[in-house]
Amino acid sequence: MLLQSFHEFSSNAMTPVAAIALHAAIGLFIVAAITALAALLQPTRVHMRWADWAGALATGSLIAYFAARFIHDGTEPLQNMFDVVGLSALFLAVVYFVATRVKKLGSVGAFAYPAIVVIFLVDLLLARTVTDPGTEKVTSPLLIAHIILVILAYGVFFMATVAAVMFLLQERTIKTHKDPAYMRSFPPLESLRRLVDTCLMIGLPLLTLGFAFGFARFTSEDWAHIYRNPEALSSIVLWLVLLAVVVGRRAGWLHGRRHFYMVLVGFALVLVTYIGLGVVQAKGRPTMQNTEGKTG
Amino acid sequence: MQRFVVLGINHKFAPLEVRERLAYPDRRIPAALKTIRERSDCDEAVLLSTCNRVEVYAFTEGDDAQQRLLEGLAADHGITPDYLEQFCYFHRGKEAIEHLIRVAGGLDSLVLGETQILSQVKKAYLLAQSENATGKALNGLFHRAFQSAKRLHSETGIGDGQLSVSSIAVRFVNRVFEDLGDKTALLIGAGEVGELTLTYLRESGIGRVIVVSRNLERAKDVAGRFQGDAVPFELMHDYLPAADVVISQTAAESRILERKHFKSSQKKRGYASVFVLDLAVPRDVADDASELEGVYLYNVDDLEKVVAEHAMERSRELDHCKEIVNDEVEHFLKGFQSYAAGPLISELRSKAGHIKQAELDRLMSKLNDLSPEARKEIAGFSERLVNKLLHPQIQGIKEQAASGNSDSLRLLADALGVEKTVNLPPAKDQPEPQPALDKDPVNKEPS
Repeated sequence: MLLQSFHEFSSNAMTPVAAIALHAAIGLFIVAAITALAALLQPTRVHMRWADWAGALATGSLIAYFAARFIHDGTEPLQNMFDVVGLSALFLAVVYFVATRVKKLGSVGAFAYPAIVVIFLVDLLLARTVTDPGTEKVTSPLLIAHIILVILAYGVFFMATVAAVMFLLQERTIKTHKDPAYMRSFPPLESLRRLVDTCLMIGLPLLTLGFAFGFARFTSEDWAHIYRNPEALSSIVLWLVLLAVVVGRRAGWLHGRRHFYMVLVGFALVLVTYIGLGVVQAKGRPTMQNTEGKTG
Repeated sequence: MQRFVVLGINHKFAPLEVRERLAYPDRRIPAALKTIRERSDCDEAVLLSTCNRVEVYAFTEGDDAQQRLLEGLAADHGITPDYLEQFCYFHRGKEAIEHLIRVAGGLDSLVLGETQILSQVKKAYLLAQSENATGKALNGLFHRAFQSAKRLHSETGIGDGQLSVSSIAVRFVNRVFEDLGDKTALLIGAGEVGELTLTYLRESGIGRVIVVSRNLERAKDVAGRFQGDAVPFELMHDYLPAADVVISQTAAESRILERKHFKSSQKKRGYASVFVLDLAVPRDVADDASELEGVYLYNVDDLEKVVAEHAMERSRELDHCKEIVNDEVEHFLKGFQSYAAGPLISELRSKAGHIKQAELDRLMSKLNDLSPEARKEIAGFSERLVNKLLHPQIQGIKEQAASGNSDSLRLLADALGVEKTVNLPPAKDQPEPQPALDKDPVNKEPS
């Protein structure tokens, strides 16, 4: 069913060039994820750089897909959840490549690529939203800025989550005096901690700005009924949690494993606000009556 | 092929005192090579001498190669061949080739999969080469062994993991910290393993070293060697918050570092990670300290368990290594045996070329009216015809040579009438002649 809706979406809602690029991107990300996991488990037989080559090609294809989409359809990709989630995957890939070029972060790909593939699998659930009638065009500059900033922030938070998961695994094995072969190429705890901190420090301002642009479009009626708007409420909760994580970390009262668990909580909230609500929307339940194609 | 031989002693067959007696310092190797080659009548020889083995690899003729090498080696050390023989092993042909590949790959080492032996084999080979003691046969064999060693380490996990307590400890330190340059190591007490660990940490770039000891003079002495600071034992707890790595190896009979010490230290450190290595028996650090946030506590037993796991992992790779060794031996054998077919093929081509040219000249002399284009066409035709006729024969020769079937080659050469003009490999019951390698790796830096 997922594949069928994806097929319908790709054949009906975009140009052939975009469809080919999208298929190539998803296929190559799957190859990259499998290769990266194999490199994690069998480092002497499979190299992580093979996964990176596949990942780089996939990222290139995804960029080509979005270029084709935006050239052909203007801002339309920003109003359907499939493209919005896809953009997040693209930003996660870009953040991964930037992070691994700046620092040697062995094995991060074994988590980042599968995360991207999972994002795309979830994305398949959302593929039909583009064909839902009644979605208005995204024309407001505020809304465009809101969507792009939020997507950027989510890409960065995904990376923080990947690093947090790796930290928790690495920390547990060191605490319990284990040294399994598949974890020997993991980055040191200190590197993972810095990566998480950096991602949070970049992601929170982006998200704050993104939400600010989103709420700037609220009318007084929207504010009056905000408690009936699950998307806005979960966005506020998400922002507060992430703010608490960053402030707690800076102030020193959130440290060690708790800090990383909180990052995972933040990520879970991202899923709720972002993908969960997207699925609900896809099933036709009303959400933001007065905001056009809002994402965050 | 049977001319490849190796005679030697190693840690498995000879006790340390025998190995010490037979070991060669580098400066003595050139003279020893000369003596052994003269006394053993070897065409080519390489002498490998490490703390765990002394081996002579040679390319020589005759069934008495073992005895000659034994006498050569014994004479060079002033001992009797009979005494030496009881500790020696000898391999010939395929087994000798396999032995060298296993040695270079670290499969025959005391520490399975270690890589130091490869550089020692390379050094021995280069030394023999510089003394003109190697020729095409041993050059080819040693280069194959170097490639095989590289393959063994890249395609298997035989070199993965660390096999000493100190190196394992540093490995864990490196899993906690990204950069040791801004980190501080605190050594409490002084012991051999603790100092060795500190040496490894220094090599890994640890920024600062503090040494604490009940004997301040002793602390100063150790600190001096590591460019560190010496601190009296009474101030140890004051310096705990500054330490990112704590190595404790005192002779104290009770715990000197309790949970409360780390609790207060961690608070001051903002719960930054601290790696604690307790090398003392009885232990210096309370077990429950490891429950604290950011404290990673290891004692000797913990590290030895990891060492044992690594050793197990390496041994699990042995089957895969065996496959690679067999593959490499076969590869070398095929390549080496096919060299012998080279002269036969050239002779065959040359003979056919002469016949073709003679017949072509005779034909052309009868056809004076032919245009230059037609003459060119006929010459091309004759060339193609000869090549196509020879192709199956040449393929057959290559296959027979690769399979090592020298009897078939001899029959083939006889049938083709080229037997007397080429140097064929020997029949199974005949001594093998000097082979000719296509590529001479002399003066090439081994990989």
